[in-house]
Amino acid sequence: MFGPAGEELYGVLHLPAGDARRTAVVLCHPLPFEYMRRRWQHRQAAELLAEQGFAVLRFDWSGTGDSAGDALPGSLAAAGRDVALAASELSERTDRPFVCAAAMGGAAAVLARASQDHGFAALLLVDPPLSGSDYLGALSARRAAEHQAAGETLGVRLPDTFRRELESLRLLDAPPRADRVLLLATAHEAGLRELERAAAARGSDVTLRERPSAADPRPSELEEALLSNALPSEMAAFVAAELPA
Amino acid sequence: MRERTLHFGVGGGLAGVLTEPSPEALREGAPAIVLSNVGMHSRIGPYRMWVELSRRLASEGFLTLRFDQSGFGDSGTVPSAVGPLEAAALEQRAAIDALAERGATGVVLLGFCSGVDPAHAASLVDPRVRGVVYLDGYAYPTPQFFVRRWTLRFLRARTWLNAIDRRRQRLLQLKKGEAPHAPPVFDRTYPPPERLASELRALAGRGVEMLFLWSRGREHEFNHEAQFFSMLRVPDLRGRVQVRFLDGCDHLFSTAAQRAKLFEAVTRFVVAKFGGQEASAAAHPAAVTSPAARAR
Repeated sequence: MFGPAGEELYGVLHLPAGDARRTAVVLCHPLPFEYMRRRWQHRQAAELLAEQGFAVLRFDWSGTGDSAGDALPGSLAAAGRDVALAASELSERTDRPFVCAAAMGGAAAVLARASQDHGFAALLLVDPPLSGSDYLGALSARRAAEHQAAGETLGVRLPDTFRRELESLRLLDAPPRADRVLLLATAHEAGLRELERAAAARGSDVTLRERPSAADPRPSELEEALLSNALPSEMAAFVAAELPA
Repeated sequence: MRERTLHFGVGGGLAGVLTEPSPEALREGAPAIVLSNVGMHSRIGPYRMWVELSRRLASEGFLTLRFDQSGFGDSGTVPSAVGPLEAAALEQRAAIDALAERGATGVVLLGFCSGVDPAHAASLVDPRVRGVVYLDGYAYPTPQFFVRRWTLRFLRARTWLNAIDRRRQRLLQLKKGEAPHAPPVFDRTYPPPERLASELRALAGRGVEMLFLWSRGREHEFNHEAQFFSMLRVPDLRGRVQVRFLDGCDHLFSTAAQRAKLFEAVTRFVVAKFGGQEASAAAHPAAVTSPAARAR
């Protein structure tokens, strides 16, 4: 647990194996909608990154997982402060000034927004949704209407401001900002190529990787999340290849 | 209320979070509550429900530990020379040890779905267990179960809509050349009802308080509260155990309202049975801080 009393964030620090790199990775856990299926992938990704020599701190956003609070932060800016706090904690504990912030899915969109306010040396964004409203709409569509409770998205109640800001988030209008931006796509989608161009136009050094296996038969989403370590392996290999030793 | 991480078990390989009541709220002599991960979920629980329940129980004065079994969540993979169920039961007992070291006078084990198996196994052999809550645990059909099941199904519009949808899905699968059913990912074997009945009587004889909860998500095997006593043939346990059928709740309690119903049922039981500290502790002489025999 770290952070101010009463607002502690839960995190797990993975120390690097062998020769340590000068980069540390702060890995944001999933947003609540994706938490159940994706948490295991985050542990795997952290362990594989540590094997590659990175110090990794993976953490729960406020109001999610074991962190303090009943609901997600009240705004996207407040969520950004969670990432900054985790990055600061990681730097202090590992004495590594170069921090890469990483996230998957909806959390990646929130991280991209946070990068506007906080200076991360590098970003790894896995499948960031380009449109917040499309993302929330797709989540709602996953459950039949009769099983949805009013005011909830997949069983989760969002703070009003957070929901409004997430709905209006358009990454192409406000692309992620960092010296190095790594984009990992698990499907060949034109959208991330547009995001690559948009971030590059703002001065970032951007690399987009589309998973080589994307054209192959893929496991079901559940298998992918709980049983396969293909995506975490891809993340670790990508970061190890692209970020400085 | 305060939360902190806890590592315990062999080599500290099991990870959990302790939720401690504030000193003013703490109920002296009350048992601690133990929650663990469900299936492949982490100790957070589906829809974060173990976090919310832990904090709710802490606000009522109960120390609570939620932890990940070996190989899940944030726990390491603890090597074991015994089978998976026995190993999981030993982990429950390791959690009880960790709580006893922090002064807990016994525990209430809460098992959910497959998590009932290790909770039940540990409760049978560990005298420090003062209460159990089994959520969507063991069920066996009875004649009355079938009468209700088919009557209810026939009367529900949803039944017919689902049947049409299944037929449509099957036609789509045939068109794609897919197999009709995916093999089950999880499989569980229930104990024979006669054995379970005998074990529950033994727990009752030891003074263990018991709450059995079923969600509607399990209505394909349990659909009314009286089924509990008939399926196990334990009319003698009437009035000795509590049984609740949580209508309107699916198996994962996937809305806030469903989770609120669950929290209310568990909290009410724990407070009613263990809220009066001195009387409760006196009624459970077997609840001790030092185990008679350590699990490992």
